[in-house]
Amino acid sequence: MRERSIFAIVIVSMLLLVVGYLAATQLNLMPTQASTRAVLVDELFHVLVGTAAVVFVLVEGILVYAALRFRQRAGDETDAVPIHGNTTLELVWTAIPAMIVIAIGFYAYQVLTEIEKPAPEPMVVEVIGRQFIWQFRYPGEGVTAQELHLPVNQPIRFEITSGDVIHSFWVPQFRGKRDATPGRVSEFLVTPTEIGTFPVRCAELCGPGHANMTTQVIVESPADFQAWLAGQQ
Amino acid sequence: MREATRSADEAGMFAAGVRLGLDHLKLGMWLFLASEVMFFGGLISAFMHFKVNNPSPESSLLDVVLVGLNTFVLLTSSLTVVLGLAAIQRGDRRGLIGYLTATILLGTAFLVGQGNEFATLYRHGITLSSSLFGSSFFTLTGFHGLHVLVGICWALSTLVKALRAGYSQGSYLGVEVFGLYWHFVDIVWIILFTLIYLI
Amino acid sequence: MSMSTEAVSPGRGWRRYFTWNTDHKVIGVQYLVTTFCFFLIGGLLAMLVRAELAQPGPDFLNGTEFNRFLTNHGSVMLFLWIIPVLAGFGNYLVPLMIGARDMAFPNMNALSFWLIPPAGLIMLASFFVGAAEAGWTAYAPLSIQTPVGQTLWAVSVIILGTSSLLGAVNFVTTVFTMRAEGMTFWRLPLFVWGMLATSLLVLLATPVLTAGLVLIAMDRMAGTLFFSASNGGDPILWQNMFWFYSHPAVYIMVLPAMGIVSEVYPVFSRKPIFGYKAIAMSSMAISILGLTVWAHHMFTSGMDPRLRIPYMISSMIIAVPTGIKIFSWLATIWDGKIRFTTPMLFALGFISMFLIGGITGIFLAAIPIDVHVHDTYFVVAHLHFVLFGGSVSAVYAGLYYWFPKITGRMYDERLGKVHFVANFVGTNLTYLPMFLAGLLGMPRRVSDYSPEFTTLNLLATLGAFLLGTSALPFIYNAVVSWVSGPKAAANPWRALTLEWQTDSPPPAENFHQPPVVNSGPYDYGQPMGVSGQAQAVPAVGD
Ligand SMILES: [Cu+2]
Repeated sequence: MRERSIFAIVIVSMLLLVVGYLAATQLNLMPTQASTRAVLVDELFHVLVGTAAVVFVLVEGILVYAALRFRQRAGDETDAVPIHGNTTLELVWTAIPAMIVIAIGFYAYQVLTEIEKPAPEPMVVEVIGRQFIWQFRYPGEGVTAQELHLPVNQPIRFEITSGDVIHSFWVPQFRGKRDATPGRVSEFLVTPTEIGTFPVRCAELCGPGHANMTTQVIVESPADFQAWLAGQQ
Repeated sequence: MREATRSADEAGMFAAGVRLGLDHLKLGMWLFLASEVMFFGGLISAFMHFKVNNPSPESSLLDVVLVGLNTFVLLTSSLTVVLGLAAIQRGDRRGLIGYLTATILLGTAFLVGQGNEFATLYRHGITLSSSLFGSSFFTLTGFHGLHVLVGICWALSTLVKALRAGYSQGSYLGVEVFGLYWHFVDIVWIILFTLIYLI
Repeated sequence: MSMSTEAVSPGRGWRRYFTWNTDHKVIGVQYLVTTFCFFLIGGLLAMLVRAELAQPGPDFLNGTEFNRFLTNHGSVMLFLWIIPVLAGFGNYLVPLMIGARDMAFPNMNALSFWLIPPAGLIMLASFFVGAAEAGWTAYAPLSIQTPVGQTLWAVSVIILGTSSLLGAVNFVTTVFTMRAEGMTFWRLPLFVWGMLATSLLVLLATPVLTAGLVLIAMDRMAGTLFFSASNGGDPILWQNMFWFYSHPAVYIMVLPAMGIVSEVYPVFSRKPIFGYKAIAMSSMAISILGLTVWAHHMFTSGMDPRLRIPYMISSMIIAVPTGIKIFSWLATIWDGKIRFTTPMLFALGFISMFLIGGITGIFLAAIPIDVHVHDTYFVVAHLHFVLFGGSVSAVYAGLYYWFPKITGRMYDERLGKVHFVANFVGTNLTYLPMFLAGLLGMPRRVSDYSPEFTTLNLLATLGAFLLGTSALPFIYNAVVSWVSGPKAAANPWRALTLEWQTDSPPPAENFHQPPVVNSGPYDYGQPMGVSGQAQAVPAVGD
């Protein structure tokens, strides 16, 4: 009886976990993927969501089950059977999470290496944050704009700095941000893959106008981009 | 209400700590000093960060010889604290008074030396706001000087207690705890001297 | 400075709570009540912030006002509520739990408390001169340029850090030197282990924040150039010093909370805690690991790319000792005889919500994901699940659990349960939508946002107002029960730890006879029906 119920619980929970993992990895919680890095980041994200869903369902499931199943029965004032520990069990729940986080760490490291691999011939765009505007400079073209234009499928290297306090350059659809820090230039690599208009937001509190320190990035075909560039010169 | 801090022997069954051979005033002081290590660690990191990444020609104005002499003065004051403690452990109260007085004089001499050094640098135009070197140098050595000043005040109050026969051969915890602090301030100076003046 | 001067006469009645009193129980209550008042202030600030954010567009706060409310909400909640309220529990309970008459340094203990009200007043008074507006993180160089209130803020935080530091010296010394006969380290209640681990962190991390704040204050007042980029200064230096403290500070805010729930589960499951040593040692492990992860807050700062990997790994590894605790707690209630009292409900709520905070922490540690969600509402949701769903739930569990001990009266269970339900629903309603808002692109600390986030923000605002309201039944319950609740027995929960083996409330100096301990703190279910750690009291004595 006891063994059979344990067996049933194990089977049902395994099934639930697999279903949970699969369902969770299908969840779309991210904005449009508009860069090469977005695809890789989202893959990692989905694996994490799936793993998290399993852990979540497991722990909350045990919690709710135990709370319902092991309520004190009316009038029963005796203590429960004392169990102080179980070395095997404790080793298992130390080792398995350790293996999971090491695997995640390894995977995350791989994704990081991949998304930060320098492209052979990137186009450089200088980004300067100021209270409370963004400036984009295209070196060699003599163009400075407050709206970011990028040619699609062209690897970009942003060189990001600030004219006053710390800002953070963020395009959610590109899946990444980099702080604009006065006195230093930070690099950020992106290859836009989607033609469209996306928001540029400041992600680091930079003063009263922080919320409105936004502009847009317009990803367009190389021809459109060249036309825009020519129009600015 | 009774004191919760009476000596371990007196407290009898509360004296679990006796097994560790630790008086809680001394343990408290050690813990406090551990946190002081981290405080100076923070300031020293800031100083070293700028020393390495923004080396300044102004550091050549530092007078290693004079400051070395000052260092010797401070080290001597640690010796006098040790001798003072040894004196009271022998029951020599006058010795304690003498050595504490010497400690106070040496500590004051150190501060005067430091004041002199600061004045010289000011004459060369190095101030808190003249350059990163000035900012980090004066902040770091200034906070150390402040600790010496606190130590001198503490030494004075220990001296007053000693004059009032507050310590004896069997009871000298106050001197010991003051000594811990004073030696700590000395050790910090040796580290600062090495990092600022020697390398 | 002599710490061992004669303790001040305790006096009786409510007046003693307004005096310099060296009784750790009085100080404990002073901490709990004062910090709860700051909690209410921080909560009101949060509700103002949420009200502004209920709809996009500027409503009634301009950017400056918004930043001031936001900054002080965070600062009050962290420095004047969570950290000191847990120190308040420590003050009340540590001496009782280890069978001591008081803390090791009673006068210094009173000083630790009396630093808090002036520091709080300084922080709040800064609203009259232009309050701090650079966020609780006070990133330089913004925090160098903001008005004079920022200096007051720095001074206030330095004072609060000092208070916390003196408390930590006191806790460690007390636990090492004042334990009762037979109270070995392996018989310490887990709350005491939590306070020990926390105190070590406070000792090692707080002074670095103090040093950083000194540099900020010097830049502002003495014209130093530490963070002035145009003069070669380095804003990132502040981030390193700040996070060296402020990441461990998360554990300072969580480890004692984990200690509280570790007391609650065994009592209301009538079962020994599962894996006592593993829980105790995982606190120490978290404490040590916690000192090695600070730069994971700086993955987007453009720091040396090679340095990021060790920080990512160490941040993820912290999930292991945390997991050990969670599984041990689940095993503790498993096969128990669970009583759903209010403290137990809050303690179970703690697991369920802290888990969400913990899991999302792994997302933030994974650098490729972090550079997307860093400084977004995802982080806001994560940290509130840890600190509100986690720490605050545990604080409520503790307040209900020790209410009869502290006041000598019982609270009202029905109101307690109403409070729990409102708090639980409110917490999830407030913070769950924020995860989504952050993933979809809403930065944190904004006074306005793109209309696409309206629904999520409206939900969060509704939740915040439910949370605010949920404090009312608690306040009513606490006040009325304290004044006129039914008298509580010495040990209404039939708990085994030492604080329950004396009167409710405990007499001056805690125990009528010095306790002698000959069993563990959670030995439930023993055949002989051991009634407490102090079973064999008369063994040694007068
Ligand atoms: Cu900005």
